[in-house]
Amino acid sequence: MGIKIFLLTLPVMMGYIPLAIAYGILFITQFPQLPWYYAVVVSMVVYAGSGQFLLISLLASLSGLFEIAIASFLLNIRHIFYGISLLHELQTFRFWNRHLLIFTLTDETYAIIKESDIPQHNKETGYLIIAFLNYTYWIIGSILGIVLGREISMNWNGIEFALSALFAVLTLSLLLRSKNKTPFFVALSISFMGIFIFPSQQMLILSLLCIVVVLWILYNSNSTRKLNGTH
Amino acid sequence: MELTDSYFWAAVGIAALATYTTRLLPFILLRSKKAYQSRWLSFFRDNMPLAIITTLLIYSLKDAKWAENFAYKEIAAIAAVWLSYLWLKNPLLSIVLGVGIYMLLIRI
Repeated sequence: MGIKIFLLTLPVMMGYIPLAIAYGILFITQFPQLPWYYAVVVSMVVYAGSGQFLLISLLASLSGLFEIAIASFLLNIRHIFYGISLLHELQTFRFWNRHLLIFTLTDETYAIIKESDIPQHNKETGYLIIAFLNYTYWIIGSILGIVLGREISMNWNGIEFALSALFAVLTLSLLLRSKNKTPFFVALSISFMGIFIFPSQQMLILSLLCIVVVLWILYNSNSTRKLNGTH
Repeated sequence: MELTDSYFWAAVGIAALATYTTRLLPFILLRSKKAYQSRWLSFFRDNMPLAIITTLLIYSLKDAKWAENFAYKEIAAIAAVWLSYLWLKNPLLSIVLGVGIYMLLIRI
């Protein structure tokens, strides 16, 4: 079972190690005054790709703790919708195993678990091995990034654009998959205006608040129209 | 104000807790079928993931020089990311390309 599981996680390794390297380089470049192992501890306790990139940018602009909580929560809120289908399977797992798995449940770990097709009696061990391997790739990548960022004395200015590039890819891939494109246009226009009209420190929260209100109004007026049209 | 150790660890702790909460929530909230079928949740599922990630993209560009030169370097790099993604559908390649182009643009 071990080898088969390892092979399943290989694509995750190819994705996680380069991304974690970028994270490590970014961390070291942004906070050269901090001890290097801080970057590793962040990878170990937060363990969320885009979440950690966002955290670096929030830390660099000394954002309020409340804003950091909201931003991290919202960025990762998609996990709620991925986790639903694991609900029943995980109920039979031992308490600590279940929480260990929930803690390490990234998009990729979830995807591999779903595709793994492990027989019932091996599930608990199998899922944990998958989660552990992916976690290890992320930590190894982070350490490699720190080493690269410190040892290769290159001018890394501009590496912080990795965050925007990552969000650009995530936005486009989600936009292509979504039938309803309205959220994209509403969010784009409101947050763009937000850059100019909201105070920089609260721009994210205020923009999201306006976006939720506008989309909620649109959602309700659309469904009333549909109801009136069909009946 | 500068980046102190206590602020750093408080921020990291909060980010870790917030991230863990998103992973844990379905296991707490969605035990009942009723909650899963609520109107608010289905609104959220249909609209918010795309809205949130779009907002984060713009948020990450908030310190660009919009007033001065309409942030053309950032926009050019984003365009490269999007076009290459449409073409090759390789997320990592598009990110590396975008960062590379941006690093080049701010040096010339």
